Amino acid sequence: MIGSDVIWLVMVASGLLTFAARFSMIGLFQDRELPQIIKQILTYVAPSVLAAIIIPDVLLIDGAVTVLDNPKIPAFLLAMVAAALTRNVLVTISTGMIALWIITAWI
Amino acid sequence: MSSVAPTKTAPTKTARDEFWDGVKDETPLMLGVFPFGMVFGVLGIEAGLEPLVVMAMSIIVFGGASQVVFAQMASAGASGLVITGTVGIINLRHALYSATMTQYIEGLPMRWRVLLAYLLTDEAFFVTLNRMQTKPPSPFMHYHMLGTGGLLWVMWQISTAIGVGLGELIPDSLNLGFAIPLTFMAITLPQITSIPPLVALLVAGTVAILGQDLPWNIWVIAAGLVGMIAGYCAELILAKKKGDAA
Repeated sequence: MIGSDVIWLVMVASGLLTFAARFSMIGLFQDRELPQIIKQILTYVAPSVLAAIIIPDVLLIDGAVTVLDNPKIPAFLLAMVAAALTRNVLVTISTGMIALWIITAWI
Repeated sequence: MSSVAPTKTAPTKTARDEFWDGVKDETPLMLGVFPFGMVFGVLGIEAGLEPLVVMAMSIIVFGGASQVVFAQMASAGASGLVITGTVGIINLRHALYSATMTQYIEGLPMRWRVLLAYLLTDEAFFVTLNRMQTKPPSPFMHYHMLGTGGLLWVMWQISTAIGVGLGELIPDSLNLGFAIPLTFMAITLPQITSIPPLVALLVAGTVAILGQDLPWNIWVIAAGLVGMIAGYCAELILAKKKGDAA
C-alpha cells in the first residue's frame, strides 16, 4: 500500500493525465477542422468504446471468460430485449438489475 | 401575442433551455451512475484508502472505471507510477470524445473549453453527442453538456460519499456494479441501426476480450480504436458493393 502522502501525488497525476486526454482535441482544434477521414472514423466512437467496456464487464468473472454459470449473461440479454422494446433507459437498467437479482437468488 | 405567421423552424433554444434539456436527458442514467458511485465509495474504503482520499478522487480524477482500477491497484500494492500510467491509459479514450466534441463547439472561449473538458465523461459525452447529432444546432448547445456533465458531477460526488459512509451496509450480493454495462448498453443499442456500427461493436468487443492480458489495461483504448477502424472499413466495403451492384 502506498503511503498516504504519496497517494495524493498519484491521484493528482492521474487526474492531470485524465484531464489532458479530455482537453487534448478540444484545446488543439479550436479553429482547425479535423480531416474528413478522422471525422468518419469518429462516428463509430459510441459502439466501439462502449462495447469495449460492456462486453468484458458482462462476460468475465474474476478475469476469465465465463459463459456457463454466468448469471450476468441472461440478465443482460433480458435487458437488451427491454431496451429494444421500450428504448427507455430506466426500464432497461431496472430489468437487468432485477433479472440478475432473481437469477442469482435462484441458483 | 404578435400576429406574425408561425414559422416552420422551431425557435432557437436559449442557454437555459439547453442546460435543462441536458439535465433532463441525463437524469435516467442516474439509475446506473448512482449505484456505480456507491460501489466505488465502498471499494475505495475496502481497499484501505482514507475517506477523504476516496472523496477527493471523485473530484480530481472524475472517471468511474479508472477510479475503481486505481483503488484495486492501490490495495494490491502497485507502485504510484504504474497506477498513474494505467489510469492515464484507461482514460485515453476520452481523447476520442474530445476529438468528437470539438466539432460541435467551434469558437468557444478557452474557459468553456477547460470546463467542458473536465466534464467530458462517458455518460455525459454520449448523451450530449446524441443531442448534437439528432437536434438542430443552436448557438447555446454547449450548455447541454454543462447540464449533462453538471448533473453527473453532482450525483457522482453524492453517491461516492454515500458509498464511503455506508460501506459494508451495501451487500456485495446486490451486484450494483452491473448497473454500468446496463447503462452503456441502453445508450449504445439505439445507435446500432446498420451493419457498420454492428461490425464496430463486435470487433471492439472481441479485441477487448482477447486483450485482457495486455499490460496497463491498454485493451480499452486498443479495442476502441480497432473497433472504430473496423466500422469505417465495413462502411467503405458496403458502399463499394452498392456501387458495384448499381
